[in-house]
Amino acid sequence: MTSERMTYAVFALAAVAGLLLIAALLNISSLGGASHQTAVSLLGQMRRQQAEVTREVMRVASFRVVQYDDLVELNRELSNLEGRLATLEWFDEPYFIGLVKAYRDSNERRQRLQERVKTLAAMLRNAHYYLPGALQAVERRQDAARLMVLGDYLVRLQRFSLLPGLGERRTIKLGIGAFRADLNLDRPGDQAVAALLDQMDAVIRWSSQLEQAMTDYLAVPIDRALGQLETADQVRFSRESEHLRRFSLVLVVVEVGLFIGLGVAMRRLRIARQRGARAAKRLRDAIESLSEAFALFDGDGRLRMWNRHFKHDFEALGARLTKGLTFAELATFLVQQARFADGEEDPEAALQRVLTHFQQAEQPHVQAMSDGRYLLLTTSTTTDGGRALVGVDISEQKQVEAELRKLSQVVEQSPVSVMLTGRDGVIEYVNPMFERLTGVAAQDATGLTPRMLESEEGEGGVYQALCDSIGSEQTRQGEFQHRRDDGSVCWESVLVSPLRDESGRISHYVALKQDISQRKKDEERLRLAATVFEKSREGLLVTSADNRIKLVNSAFCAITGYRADEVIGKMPSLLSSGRHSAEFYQQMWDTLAGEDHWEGEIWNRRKSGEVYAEWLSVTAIRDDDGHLEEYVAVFSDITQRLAAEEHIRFQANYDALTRLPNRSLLIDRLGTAMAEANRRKKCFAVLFADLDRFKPVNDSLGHQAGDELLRQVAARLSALVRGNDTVARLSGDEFVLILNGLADRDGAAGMAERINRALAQPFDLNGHQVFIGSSVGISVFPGDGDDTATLLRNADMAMYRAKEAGRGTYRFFTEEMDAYITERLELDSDMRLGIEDGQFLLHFQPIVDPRDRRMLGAEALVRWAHPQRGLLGPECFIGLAEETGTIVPLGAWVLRAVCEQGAAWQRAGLLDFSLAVNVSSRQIRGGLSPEDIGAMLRETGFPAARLTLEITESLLLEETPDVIEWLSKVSAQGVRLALDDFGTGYSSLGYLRRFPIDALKIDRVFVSGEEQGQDLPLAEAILAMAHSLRLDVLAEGVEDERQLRFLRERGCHAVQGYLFSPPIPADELVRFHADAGGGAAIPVANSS
Amino acid sequence: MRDFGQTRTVLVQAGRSRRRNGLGLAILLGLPLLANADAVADGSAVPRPGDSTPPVVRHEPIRPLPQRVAGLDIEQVLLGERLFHDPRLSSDLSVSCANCHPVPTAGADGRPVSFGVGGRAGQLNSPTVFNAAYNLSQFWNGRAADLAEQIDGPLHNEVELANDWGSVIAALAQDAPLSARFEKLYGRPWDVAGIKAAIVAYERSLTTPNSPFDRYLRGEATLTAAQSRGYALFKSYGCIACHQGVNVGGNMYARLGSIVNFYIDGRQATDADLGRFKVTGDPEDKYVFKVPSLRLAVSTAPYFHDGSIATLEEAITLMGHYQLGRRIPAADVEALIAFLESLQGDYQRLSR
Repeated sequence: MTSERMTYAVFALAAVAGLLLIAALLNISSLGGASHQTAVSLLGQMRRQQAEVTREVMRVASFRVVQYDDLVELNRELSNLEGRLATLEWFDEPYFIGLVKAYRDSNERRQRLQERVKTLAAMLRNAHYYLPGALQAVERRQDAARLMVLGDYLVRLQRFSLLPGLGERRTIKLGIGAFRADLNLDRPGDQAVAALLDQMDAVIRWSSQLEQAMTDYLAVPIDRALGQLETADQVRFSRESEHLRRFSLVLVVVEVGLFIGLGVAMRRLRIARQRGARAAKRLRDAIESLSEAFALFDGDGRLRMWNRHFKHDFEALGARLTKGLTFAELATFLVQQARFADGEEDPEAALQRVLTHFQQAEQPHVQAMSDGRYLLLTTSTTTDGGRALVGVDISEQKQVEAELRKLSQVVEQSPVSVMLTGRDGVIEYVNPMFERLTGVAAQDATGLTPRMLESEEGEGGVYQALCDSIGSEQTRQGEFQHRRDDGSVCWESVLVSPLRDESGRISHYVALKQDISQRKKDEERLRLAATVFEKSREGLLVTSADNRIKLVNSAFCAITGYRADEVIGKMPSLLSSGRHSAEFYQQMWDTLAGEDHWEGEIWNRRKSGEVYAEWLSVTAIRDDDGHLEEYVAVFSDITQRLAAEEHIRFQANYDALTRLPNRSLLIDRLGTAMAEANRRKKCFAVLFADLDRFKPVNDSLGHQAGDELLRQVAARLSALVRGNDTVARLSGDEFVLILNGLADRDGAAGMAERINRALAQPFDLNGHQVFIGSSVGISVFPGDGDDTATLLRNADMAMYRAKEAGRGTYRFFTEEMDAYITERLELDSDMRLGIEDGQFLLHFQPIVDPRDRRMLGAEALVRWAHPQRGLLGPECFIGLAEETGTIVPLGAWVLRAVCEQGAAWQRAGLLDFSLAVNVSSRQIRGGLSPEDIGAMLRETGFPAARLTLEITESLLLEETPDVIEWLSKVSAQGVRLALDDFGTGYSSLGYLRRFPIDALKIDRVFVSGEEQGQDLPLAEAILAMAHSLRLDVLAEGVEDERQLRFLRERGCHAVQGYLFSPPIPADELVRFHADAGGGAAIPVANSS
Repeated sequence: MRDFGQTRTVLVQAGRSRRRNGLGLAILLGLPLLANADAVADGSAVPRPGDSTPPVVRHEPIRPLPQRVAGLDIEQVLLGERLFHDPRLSSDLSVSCANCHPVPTAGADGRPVSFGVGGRAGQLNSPTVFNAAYNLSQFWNGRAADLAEQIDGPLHNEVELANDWGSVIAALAQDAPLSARFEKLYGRPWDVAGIKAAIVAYERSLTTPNSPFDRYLRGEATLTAAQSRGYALFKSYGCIACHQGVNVGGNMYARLGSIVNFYIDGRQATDADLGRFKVTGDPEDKYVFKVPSLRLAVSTAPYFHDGSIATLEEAITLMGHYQLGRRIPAADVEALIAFLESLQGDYQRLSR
C-alpha cells in the first residue's frame, strides 16, 4: 500500500516536473526557435504555393484551362499565406521590412502579368475556336485558290500561337498584308474576309503579347525574394540559438533528475503487479473447461494462462507456448500463419493490422492458419488492463464463403461489363470492367439509375429502349451511347436479361455490356474520311494499281476543270502539261515503286489548257500482303504561291530599278563562277564599269531621268553579254559584269571596249540628248584574288585607274595598283610637307586679246618642285589633292601667292592686266569663305578688280543657297568669276543667269579636240549664246592660227594657249607682257 | 581539480542537450497550426468553391454555386444583415449599403448610377452584391482584394456614404441593445474589424445556388431546348472564354472593346472609364474591367460598367461586336437570354 502511494506520489511529481519542463521549453522557444520554425514552414508553403500558381498560369498560357476559378483560388490561398507573414516575430524589424516589400513588389508584378496572361489567353482561345468557322463562312463566296492560301496562313497562325517564332510572325504578317492588298471591299464576301484578316492580325498581336507577358512573368524574381527572406530568417535564428543553448543546459540537469525518479517508481509498480497476478492462477481450472480456445494476457501484454483448446488450436506455436509469450509475439505468429495461408500481404503492415485490431478490442478477427483452418479471434480487456483472447474454429463456414467468392470472382474478373439492377432499375452491383468502361467508380454507381450514364449526344429513343426492357420479361439487346465520368462518350452493346429468384419471380436485371467504341470509332472514321475526301480543299484522286483513275473529289474538279465522269477510268497522264521530261516521270515512278511515296512540284494542264503548278503527293496503298492496291494522290494548286515566292525571291536578289541582279546575287554568282572555274580549270573576268558623268545628269535633269538613264545603261550592258554571263548593278552608277569561260585576257579587254563604246553613244532621256561615258576596271580569276570581295575590290581599283587615265578607257588590275595606292598616300603627305617647305611655285599662262595679241591677263598655275621627282605639273597632284582634301591648304597658298605677286606688280605700276586663279568646289566646302578672300586682298593690297576666280561647272550644279550666297559675296567685292571648262558638264547657258558669272571659259576639247571640224561649231554656238547673255568668253587650248582666226571672227573676247605661250615663271611673264605691248620691267614678288 | 571535473560534465550535457532541443521544437511545431483554427470564426476566411456541393455530373467551364456556404456564424450573419441595412453608416444618416444594393431586387438598384448622401450621383453602375464573394476582387476595376477591403470604398466615398469609421462607431455606440449584441458576439466593444466581419459574413451568405443550370450540371435536371441552344451559342460565340467558372465571370479582367475600340462611334471616355489603369497605372490596362458575373444578369439591368446599356438584348449585341467581332442575330440573342435565365438561382435567407 505504502509503495503504491509512493509510486503515485512520484508520478504526480514527474507530471508536475514534466509540465514545468514543457513550460520552460515554451519559454525558450519564444526566444526564436518556434518563430524560426514557423517562418521556415510559412516561407516554404509560400514557395510551394507560388510554384503552384506558376504552373497554373503556364497551363492557362498554353490554353489548357477552360475556367479560371482554380487559379483565383490558388491566389487566394497564397494571399492568406502572405497575411500570416505579419504574425512572424521579425515582421516589424527594419531589415525584414525591406525584404518583405521586395517580395510584395515582385508578387504584385506577377499578379498583374498573370491577369494579362488570363485575358490574352481567353481572347486567343476564342479566336482559335472562331477562325476556322469564320473561314468556312467565307468559303462559299471565295475562289478555292485564294481560300487555300488563307487556310494555309490560318494553320501557320495557330502553330505560331502555340510556338511563337519570329520568322513565322513575319511571314504571316506579310501574307495577311498581301491578301488584304488584294481585297476589293465592294465585292460581296470580301468584307467578311477583311474581318477575318482583322481577327488574324489580332491573333498575331495577342500571341506576341502573350509570349511577352509570359516571359516577363517567368522572369519576375519571386524565388529570389523568398530566398532572401529565408536566408535572413536563418541568419537571425542562428544568432538567437546562442541564447537557447545556454538555457537548455539548465533544463537538461532538471530533466535527468526527473527521469531517475521516474525509473524508481516504475520498478515499484511492476512488483505490485506481479503480486496481483498470482491471485489470477485460481481462475485456470475454470478456464480449462471452456469449449473455445482461451488465453489471458496481463497488463504488460504477456501470456499468463491458456486452456487446452488454445493449445490445440495454436499447436504450431510449439515450444514458444510458454508463460511470458508476449502479445506481440503471438501477433507475429498469427501473421506468419496468415502468410502461409494467403501468401500476400506485406508482413510489416499485416503485423500492424493485427496489433491494431487487438488493441481496439471487441472486434472479431478472422485468422487464417497455415493448416487451412480459420479461427475467429475475439479479445476483450480485463479489469486489470490485461486481455482475454477467445478463438472459435470457423473453417467450415469459411469454405462455403470461399466457394461463393470464386463464383463472384468470375463476374468480377469478367471481360464483359456487368451491371445488376433491382426491379426498380436502381444499380446494386457493377463489376470492375463496368468501372473501367464507364469511368464511374462502383461506390458512385450503386444507388443510381443507369440514367446517369446518358450522354448529351444520346438520342432519347436509345435510352427509352433500356427503360422498356426493364419490367419486361424478355431479354433485350441494343447499342447505347454512354457517357464516361470524364465526359467522354463511349458506345456499348448491351444485353439485358431478367434474373429470377427461387419462386421464379424477377428479382433483378442483369445487363451485360461490351465496349464497341472502337467499332463505332472506326465507322465514324470511315464516314469522316469520306467527308474529308469530298470536302478537302486539296485535290484528291485515287487510281487503281494499273493507274486508272477510280475516284476524284470536288476539289480535283475545281482545280483541273474536269468533271469526275470525264476522268474516271482514264490515266492521270491526261493532265500532264508536257513541261516535264520522260525522265522526270520515270524517276517519280521509280521512287514510288521503291518508297511507296513521292512528292514534289509538278506542272499540269487544266481542261482549259492552262498550265498550272501543283504540289503533288502520291502514296502507294498496299494490302496486308504487300500487294499494290491503289495509288492516292493529293495535290494543291500552288501557282499563286509560286508566283508570290518568285516575287519575294526577285526582291531579295534583283535591283528593282534595272531588274539586274543586285549585290547579294552578284556575290552569289561570283562564288558559283569561282567554284566552276576551279573545277574546270578555266578562268573568268570581273568587269567593274562606272559611269563617268552620271551625277551631273541626275542633278540637272532630276532623279527620274537618272533612273531612266540607269535603265537604258542596264539594257545596253545586257545586250552585250552572253546568256551565262552576269550583269549586275552594284550601287548607284556602278555595274559589274562576270564573263565566264574566258579564253584569255583579250576577251575581257574586248568586252571592256565594247562597253565603253556602247555607253559613249548618246542617250535619249525624254527628248534630252545626254552623253555619258564609262570607265572599266578588270580583275581576272584566278590570279587577281581568291575570294569574291578581293576580286571586286581589285576590279574597282582598276576602274579608278582607268578613270584617272582619262575617261572612256579600261584597265586590268595589276599588282602595281596596290603599290600605286601606297605611293599616292606618300605623295599626299609629301604635298602637305611641301606647302610648309615652300616647294610650290607659280607659273602663269598669258591670256591675250585675239585681235592684237595684247596681254589681257594670265592664269596662275601651280608647280611643285618636288625634292626627288623634280618639277611636277598640276596634273600630277591636283587630282590627288582634290581627293584627299589637301587642295584646301594648297588652294589657299596659291590664292595668297597670286595676290602677293599681283600686289608686287601693282606696286611696280605695271598691273594693267588681271590674274586668274582656279578655285575648286572642294576648297569652298573646305571653308574658303568670301571674307577670307577679302581679307587676303586687303592684306596683300591686290585690287579685287584684277582678280578672276575660275570655278567649275560642278560647283554650280550643286545649286544650293550656300553656293549662290558664296558667289554673290565674292562678286560683290569686285572679284570676277569665270566658269572654267565650260561645255564638258551639263550646264545649260540658260541657267547661268541665276549666278553672278562674268565670263565663260570654253574647254580646250572644243577648241583643240581631234575632230576639230565637229567641235568648233559647238564653240561657235557657245559664243553666240554667251554674247546674248552678255558674258565674256575666253577660249583655252588655242594652238594654231586657224583656231585663233575662227575664234576671233566669232567675237571671242580672250584666248589662251601654246600658240601664244606655255605657262611660264613670273619673270618671264613680265617679259612676255613687255613684248606683247607692255612697258617697263616688272619686279617679281617673292612667292615663298 | 574540481573545476576541471565540472567543465567535463557540462560538455557532456551540452552534447545531449542539442538533441533534446530538437525534440522539444518538433513538439512545438504543432502549436501555430492550432493558433490558426480561430481564423474562420473571425469571418476573414473566404468562401471556397466546393463548399458543400453535390457531385458534378457535367464537366463544363461553368461550375455550380455551392449549395451551402461553409463556416458562417449565424449570429454574425444576422448582425451583418442589420448593419448592411443601417443608415447610420452614412454621414447624414440617410443611406445604407442596401440603398444601392437592395437585396429584394437582386442586389442592385436598377439605375445606371446610384445616389449617395444628399442625392449625389456616383460614376459607375452598382454591381449586385449577390455572389460577390466569388469574384477575384471587388469593384469594377478590382481595386479591393476582398469584401472586407471593399467596405472602405463606399464608406469614405463622398458621393456614397461620405463617412469615416470614427463617426460610424460613435453613432452605433448610441444604440445600447445593438452594442450589447456586438459585445456578446465578439467580447469587445464596437470596432472596425468586427463591423466588417459581420457585414462580410452577411454578404457571403448572399448567394443564389440551385439555378436550373446548376441543377443541370449536377445531373438533376435538364435544360429547355431554348436554354440548351443558348448555352451552345454561348460557347460557340466565345462568351464562355471570359464568362466562366463558378460565377460565370468575375474571375478575370478584360478590355471593354478587345476587338473593336469601344470609345469610338461617338462615345467619349471619361476618367471613370479608364478602369484598371487607375489601379495599376499600366497603359495596357486602360478600359480594362473585371469581367462581371452573369449569374443574375437577367435581373440586373442596366448593363456595362457605366450602366449605359438599358436592355440585355442590346448588351449582348454590343458585347458580340466589341468583344468578339461578331454580329449576333436577334434569334441567337433570344436563345442566349434563355440560357442566362437558367443561371438564376434562389437566395435563401439564413435564420436562427
